[in-house]
Amino acid sequence: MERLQFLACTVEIRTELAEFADRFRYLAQHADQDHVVTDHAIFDVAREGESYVVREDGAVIFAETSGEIAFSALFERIHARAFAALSDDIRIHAASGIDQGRLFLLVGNPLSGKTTLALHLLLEGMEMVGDELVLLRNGLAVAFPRKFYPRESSLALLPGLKLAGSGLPFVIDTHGAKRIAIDPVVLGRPWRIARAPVKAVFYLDPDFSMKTRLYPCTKVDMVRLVMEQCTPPQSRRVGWIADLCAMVNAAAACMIALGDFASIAVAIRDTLR
Amino acid sequence: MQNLSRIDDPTWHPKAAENMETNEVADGYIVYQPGRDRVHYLNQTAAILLALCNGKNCVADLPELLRLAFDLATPPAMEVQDCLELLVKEGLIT
Repeated sequence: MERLQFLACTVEIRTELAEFADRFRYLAQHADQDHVVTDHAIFDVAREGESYVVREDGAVIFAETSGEIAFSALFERIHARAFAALSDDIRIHAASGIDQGRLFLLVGNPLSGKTTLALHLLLEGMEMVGDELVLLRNGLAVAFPRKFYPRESSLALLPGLKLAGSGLPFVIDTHGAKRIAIDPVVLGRPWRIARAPVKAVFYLDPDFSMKTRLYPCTKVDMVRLVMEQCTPPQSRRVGWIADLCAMVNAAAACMIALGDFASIAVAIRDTLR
Repeated sequence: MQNLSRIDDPTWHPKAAENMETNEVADGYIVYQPGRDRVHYLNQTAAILLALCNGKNCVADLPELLRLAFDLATPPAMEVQDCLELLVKEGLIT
């Protein structure tokens, strides 16, 4: 049995299937979370005939013959349940870190380099708390707790990351890429997740053939860019756009033309100062 | 279809559309129209022009008011024309 916390939702996963227990190592995170819990879900996974059958709070939610597909669907369902427990939160595709008690966001498209940059900054000694998703409500943001999932092909950009022989869990994603699950704690780093105001928003505009540059961005443009990377709150509460605008307005706004990693940590630290 | 010919009428007193959620940031406005579920990103010039479209100022007055707002040498007549056209097209002024 595995018990996990995803901010406001705790999840219990029960199975006697050895192959699933191994997959849960990919999903399981044990970030230290300072968050009120309002929901609890129980998922049971069992083999019935040819199918993997998954139940949520006792009711069958799907049956699937492929273990890979069943695990992937369960992974998504657990996250959906966690998001539902925070239905007033805006979801923003962003890696995130903490600097002096405030969050900074690295916003960007898929494949823009969020995870690789987040791991690079982690190795440079910065406190990174997420590689993919941030939730925002009433001016306070929090990283959604999930392991960092870099593509194996991008690890060459992180020579300081020593993973050889570590046996870290991985999956092959829908694009055929091998994704490794990395817990900051495994790298000897703290992983504390809590709501905090946002200090700076960086937007990643990758150009891997160039030297990295940071330059200021207008607030209007940054709101537009962040809006393109966000999902409105499930509750569609009134004022969510005002919430997003106020967050960007109160933060430093910078574009990162992401090329090499040689000087990026210094440039980000300078901006945060 | 918005009536674009109105912006050629110097006596027209444009007014910001109703039921808009206007959010001010340091260098412009983010305007949300719930009825159309549409978000508009206005730079400083467009934001000020929208604020001036209060039903009291006529089209002929707007370039001079923009000149005063930005301390310009001459009234930005063409820019105002273009911006008004955009605001009309997007249904932000009526």
